[in-house]
Amino acid sequence: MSAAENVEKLIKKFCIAKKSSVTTSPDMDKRVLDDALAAYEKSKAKKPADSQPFVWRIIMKSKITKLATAAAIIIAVALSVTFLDKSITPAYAIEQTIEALRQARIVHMFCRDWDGKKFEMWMSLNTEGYPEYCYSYWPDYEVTNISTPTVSYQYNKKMNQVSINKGKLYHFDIRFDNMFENIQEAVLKNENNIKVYREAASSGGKNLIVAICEGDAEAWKIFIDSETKLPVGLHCLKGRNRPGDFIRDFDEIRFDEEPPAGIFEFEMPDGAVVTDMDQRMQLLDDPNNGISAEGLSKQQAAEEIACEYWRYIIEKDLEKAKKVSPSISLYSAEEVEKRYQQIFGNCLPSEFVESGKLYVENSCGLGEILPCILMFEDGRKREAKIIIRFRNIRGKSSCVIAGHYGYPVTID
Amino acid sequence: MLEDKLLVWKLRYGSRDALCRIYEKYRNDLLALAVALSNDKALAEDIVHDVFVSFAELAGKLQLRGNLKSYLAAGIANRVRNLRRSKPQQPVGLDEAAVIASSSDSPQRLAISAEQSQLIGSAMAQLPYQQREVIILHLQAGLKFRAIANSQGVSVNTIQSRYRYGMDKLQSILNGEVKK
Repeated sequence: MSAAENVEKLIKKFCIAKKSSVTTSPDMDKRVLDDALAAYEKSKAKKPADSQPFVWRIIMKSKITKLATAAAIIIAVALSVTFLDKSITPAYAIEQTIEALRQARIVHMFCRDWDGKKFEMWMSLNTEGYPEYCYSYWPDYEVTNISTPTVSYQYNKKMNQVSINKGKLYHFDIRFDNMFENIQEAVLKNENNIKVYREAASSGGKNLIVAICEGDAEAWKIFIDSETKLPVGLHCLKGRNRPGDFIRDFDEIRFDEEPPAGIFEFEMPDGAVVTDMDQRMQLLDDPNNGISAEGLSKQQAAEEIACEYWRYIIEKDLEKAKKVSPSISLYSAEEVEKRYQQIFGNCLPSEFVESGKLYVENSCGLGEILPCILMFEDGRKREAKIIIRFRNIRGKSSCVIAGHYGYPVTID
Repeated sequence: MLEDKLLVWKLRYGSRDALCRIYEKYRNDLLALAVALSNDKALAEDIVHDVFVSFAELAGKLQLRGNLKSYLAAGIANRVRNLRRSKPQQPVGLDEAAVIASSSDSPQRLAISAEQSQLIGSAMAQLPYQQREVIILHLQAGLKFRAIANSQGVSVNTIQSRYRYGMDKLQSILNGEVKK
């Protein structure tokens, strides 16, 4: 028998011994049974709760979603590093780090996305570590997101457009510990590819633990405050295929700062075009909208609906465009025109040249992305990405266009 | 297992006796599990109380996918984890772990020596909570890795990794003593 089997056998014996030594007391039995029976009777008297009204729970498109994910990744990496950092920290540091993070209620972060655009985030966490209230602001895009348990807003100042949905901007079943399992495991598996050293922070002289974790597909550099064991910065050196990979750099992470008053509140701007995102989701899931994808591969269905969509856009036939891209119904003709002007500028597409390969973008929860090459009126080619949402309604597969993904990029 | 299915079926149709029988059947196992995970007997009693009362509240619409024992054990583990999150955690010191390890005098316990028991208790206390939790759920509560994974919403591989890392660490701590 191997040493490992011996230890396992010994631990099992120990566990069984402990188990057989514990018994409930009559007092405890009475307390539990009295309360349980009372609760049981009460629940029997209740009618089953009405099913909850439709809630838009999958707006992974939201930057807030990625904010939560990103925060989870920081925590995950921090945990992993602390775990592996045997030479620097005692065994209890793992628990200390976990607890330190779990005690955090406010997180304030300065980040950069993959385009190098800076943004700022504030998160208020509940006792279980879920983001409860979130605020984020991208100065370059002039986009503000505010997420609260009851209602959330995405405000684009340039377009003076506000999207509203019930509840938070992310799937509220997200749990940090579930989300960071994969990255934690990946880092643990690559124990040999981790370098850990200490260095003084460039400003403030704080003593930091620095860890560089390098895997086959990704590499991270993490800065941990050696005193508090909290992560204070994180940079992705390689790879971007994780959920939450939307954020490349966490330049600065601060915990439990007092947030500015009213930061999680939203005031509707004058004249803003408001989109009810819950209504939008209903339209996207309406079987009367979109095209049938029966007998087609996803790629074929995506190309077919893209052909129709661009034809209607080029011909300015909004009524037909609404059928394949039902979100258009939410706006007046003037608003749609304004919206397309904001997307395309003064130069409109004149021809749909070809489509690229359908792919999944982690940052988009509405559907899959289809790159489309378009010829514009100025004779230049641009790539515009559209979101294809596949549905299976009453056993029939179909798809709709859920919207545009980003802005067109000139390719020649 | 069949008895459990019958009990759950009766429970859904309003049998108070079924609820009492389920409690009697699993009370000691659940308490032992809560004690092992929380290292606090009084807290463990409260945890079992809360889990069982919640179970009673949901009993009418309970739809078990796995077995009842795993369901209740997962409830205990989740409750302990939530409490650990919401309260400042005191690391279990070696002295305290030794007290926990030696707090029993059952005949089964005599199968391992008092010294071994103390060493194992101390070694367990040094494990990260996630690894200790998997080891206890697997070896003490008898849960399969898949059931643990399902209850925590993580992959089986993750659970197996935690178990393996935990056992490796225990082995390295106990290595000298085991070889003797």
